[in-house]
Amino acid sequence: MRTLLLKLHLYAGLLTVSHLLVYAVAGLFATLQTSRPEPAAFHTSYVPFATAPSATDEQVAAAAWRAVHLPLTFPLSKSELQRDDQQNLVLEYYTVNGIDRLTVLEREQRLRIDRTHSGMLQFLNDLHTAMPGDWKKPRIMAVWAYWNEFAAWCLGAFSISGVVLWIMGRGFRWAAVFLIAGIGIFVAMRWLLR
Amino acid sequence: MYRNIRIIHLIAGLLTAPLMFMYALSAIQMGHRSWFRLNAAVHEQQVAAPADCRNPRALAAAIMQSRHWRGELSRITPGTSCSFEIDTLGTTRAIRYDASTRTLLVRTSQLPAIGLINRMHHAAGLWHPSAAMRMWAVVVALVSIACAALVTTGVWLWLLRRRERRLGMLLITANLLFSTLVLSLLRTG
Repeated sequence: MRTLLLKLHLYAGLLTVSHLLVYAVAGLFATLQTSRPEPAAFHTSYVPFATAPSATDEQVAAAAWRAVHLPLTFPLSKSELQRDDQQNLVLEYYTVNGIDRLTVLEREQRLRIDRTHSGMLQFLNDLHTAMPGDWKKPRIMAVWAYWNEFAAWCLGAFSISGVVLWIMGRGFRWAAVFLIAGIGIFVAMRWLLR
Repeated sequence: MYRNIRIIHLIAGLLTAPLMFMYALSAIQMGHRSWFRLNAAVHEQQVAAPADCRNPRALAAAIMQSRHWRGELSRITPGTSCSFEIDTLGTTRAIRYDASTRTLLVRTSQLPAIGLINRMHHAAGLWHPSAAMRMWAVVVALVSIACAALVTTGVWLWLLRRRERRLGMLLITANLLFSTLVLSLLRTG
């Protein structure tokens, strides 16, 4: 029984190595983040874009999205459309690589494209949150999300199987101090934070 | 060598097992919101105001001291009927000053246990004004370091074991290739 559990613990660990490292990076990144992180600088460009006189905002948004081919995004729904102070249609797309914003400048017949590019740590932090069921996502993102969910289940299983393996093994009884300390830290923090 | 690495793996694992389980459980909760109920229990009470509303921060400090409430102050709206919130993880006290009766209307929303775990998952950062939150940030950092240590020592322990070498190599290669490929594709868009 112990041998089988040990093998499962080991193999599941090897199958989720990179995800667990992403979790570690995300935790350290979150610790060192400031309350108001510096907003990422937008890189701006323009492309010609004409709107049909009878098009609805939703149709214009879809046409703008098709014109630019923003990677890892989908057309926005009606409720996600915004307008700026000059009443220009503004479309914001959030991806793991940053924010892409399209502004439809109807009078100038062009699209303003503002793009940010997240740093590697922010990218990994965003990736660790991806789960299969929470939002519409590109196929490549969905593939990551499924493996990420598997890793989350494994993380829970590791914490239980690790303790069970230690209990089933004969040595290292003194290590109980660390388990008790871990439980103590969790209970104390839960009480302090509530 | 094997024994020493095993001891490091064991200590890091046992020390962080409850917290790792908390992170896993809350991650699953966030992935399957319909499986869990997160409705907050809400109750209202009226309490005597220890000060008036000229300085909402001072009023908040006074009520926190007199009621032994902890938390961070947010959403301050100044005025003769000022309002503010005192937040801890899982508990929000929305407070409004009633100038006519010199009382405070306190609306307390408290999340259930799984809700608190969810909030703990999201909370981090050494920037927080509250000492408890900063302490939690240190715990989060230590758990993250432990997670990296568990991966490193786990792989090391596997490398020192001959029997599981072949299948293990297949699994770790699959994971690393998958991650490298998918992350590169995501990063390059």
